[in-house]
Amino acid sequence: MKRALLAALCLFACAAHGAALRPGAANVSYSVWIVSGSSVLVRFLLPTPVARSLTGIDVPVLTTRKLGDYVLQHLDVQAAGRNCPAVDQGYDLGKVDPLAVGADLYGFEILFRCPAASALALHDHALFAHAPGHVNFARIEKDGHTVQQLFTANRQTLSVPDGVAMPSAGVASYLGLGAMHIALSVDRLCLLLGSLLLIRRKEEAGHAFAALLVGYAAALLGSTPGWIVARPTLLEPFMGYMVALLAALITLRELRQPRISALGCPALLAILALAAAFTHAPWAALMLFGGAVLAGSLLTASAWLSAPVGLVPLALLGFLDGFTLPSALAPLHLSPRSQLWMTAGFDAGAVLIAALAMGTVLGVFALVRERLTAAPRTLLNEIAAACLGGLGTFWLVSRLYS
Amino acid sequence: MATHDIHVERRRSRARLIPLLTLRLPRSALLPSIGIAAGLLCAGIGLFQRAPPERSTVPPGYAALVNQKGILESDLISQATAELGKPFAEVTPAERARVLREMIDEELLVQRAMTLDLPETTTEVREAMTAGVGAQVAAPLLAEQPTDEQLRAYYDAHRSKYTTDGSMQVRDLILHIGGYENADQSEAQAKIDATEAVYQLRSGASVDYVMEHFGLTDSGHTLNGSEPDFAAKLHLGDTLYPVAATLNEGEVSDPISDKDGMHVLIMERRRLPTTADFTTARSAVYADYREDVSRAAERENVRILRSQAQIILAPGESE
Repeated sequence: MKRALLAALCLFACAAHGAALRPGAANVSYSVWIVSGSSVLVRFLLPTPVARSLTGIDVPVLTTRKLGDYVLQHLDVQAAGRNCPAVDQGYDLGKVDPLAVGADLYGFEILFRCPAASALALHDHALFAHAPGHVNFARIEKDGHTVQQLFTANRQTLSVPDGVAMPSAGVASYLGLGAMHIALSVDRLCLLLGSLLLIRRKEEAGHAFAALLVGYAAALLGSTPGWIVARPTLLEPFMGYMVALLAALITLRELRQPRISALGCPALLAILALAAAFTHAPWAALMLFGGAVLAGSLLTASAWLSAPVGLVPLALLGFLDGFTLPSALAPLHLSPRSQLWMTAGFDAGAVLIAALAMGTVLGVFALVRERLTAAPRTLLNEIAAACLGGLGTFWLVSRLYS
Repeated sequence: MATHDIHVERRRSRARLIPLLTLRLPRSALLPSIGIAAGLLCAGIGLFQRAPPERSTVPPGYAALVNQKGILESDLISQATAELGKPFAEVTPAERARVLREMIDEELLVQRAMTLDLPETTTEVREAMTAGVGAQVAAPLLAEQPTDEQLRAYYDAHRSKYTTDGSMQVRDLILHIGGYENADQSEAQAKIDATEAVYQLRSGASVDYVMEHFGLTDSGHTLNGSEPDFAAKLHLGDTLYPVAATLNEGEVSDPISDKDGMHVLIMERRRLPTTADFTTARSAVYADYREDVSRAAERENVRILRSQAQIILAPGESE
């Protein structure tokens, strides 16, 4: 019955958010606010995929000028309750100066001149209207003091205190970000809840959570020095792959249909790897080939290692998800120390919400276990595995080729 | 005694080693473990990459990096040679530094132009880019020098291009039917009068005399001086010009009936259209040939680009 409940939860989660996420499109932007007396110079950076998402909504056709106008309309500065107008920067630039900030970013600079230098309030309304999950990583510089802050849909205004140093965004802000990140990621939820289908004893639940923790911890260690970075365009397809792999593990372990799982999953991945190789996507092909070998080996190993195999997808989830924030923060070129506590807060939030989701489901199951003993377990497991397999494959293929 | 102890110790060590050496993981465990490790390694290589380093040193073959964009050493050599008009070996360090500075300035301006999206907004930049692409597409074709046969074939096919326009000074006299002196004059009578006037003109009578005698006047269709054929055609119209084009200098046409009366044309001066022969026109043929090749390459390029592009027209628009 536990599995029936989990299967239903998985289906509910999948129904709540059926569309694939855009690969590599972290929904973030960046801003630097330099406060100098009564002037505020804003540099606003927008990743190209996020800028493209505005096309047809707020920007009819994506050009630097149109995007600059959009940014100008959505950034404001107020001083003592009065608006600070944007200053015409001369030549033929107008009020928005486009910046060269790299191939994958749009950059704009706007200078606001305020009637007073006190009670400054910085407003950022860009993108929140059509992307409530959007986050703007803001750096605010005033009197030689620099702080990291966040603009979110719920916090589109930041007040700059007079006379005292502005505090940085606390760990709680990043904790909230991490929690929201997991709570809104259907694929990750599917993976977390689906992995519970492989748990048979209480101690295995603890092992599963420990595997997730180990994954996040390893990612924290690996990402902090900044030596390696994830390829975001492949990270999201790999999440889909892991959901499909989990479905294969469930099929193999619970339903005893080794041929379907042990051959089908690696074969599908091998075909996709070949397709990727033919489409001149070598890294995608390598990832898929590695995935095929991993799936084949893991599914074979599950015959003699009953408990640990279910932990591999969870550990991998933690490890790969641990690179989400470092990838998003890359354009800010933060110091390893600053990035460490931000990432630690984000990961802690993700782990907490994962623990909450897994714990809630297990708790609910513990409560209703006695009453629901006659449910057709095998059928529900089959449904859950089929749903996970279908969704995982869909996410893998659609994200790989979108 | 000591030797015996050593032997015993060796035997014990060997006995401890044997189980270790003979230890074999079950086949079913070993291969999947290797597979898992290999799979994770492959997938990891695909999923992760080394963080791209911020270049702080100039790579070999480059003279400078401007916002991480390189200025090639070979470009610096070409620019210095062209600008200073002497071999690069003779260029002084100061001159080289000056040329490099100019190239860096240019690179900064180009980057700024791209940031400002000038290709999207400025007509001159768009024209320069269009011309640049056209030149690049045509360059391989223009590198091949055309043979005389190709040029001659081109000349034959486009002979009209090398024909200079003729000119004429023509006098157009008109006899209005039913004019002031004879209101009942018919068209046939007017034609007889005009024919007689033509006869007298051809016989050597003066134009003024004939005009006065037969009541002819200047139509006002032609200029006093010589005019190019195309202008004369425009002035005389479709009825009179074909007749004028057949007249030689000094000739008088037969009477021509038109809507406003009977016309008589007198060709006072005539320069016929001339076609330059191939040898004379060779350089013009060469230039035209290359221009046509260039245009054809550009058209073909645009055709390919169109086939690859997604072009959506607004409702009501057409191209």
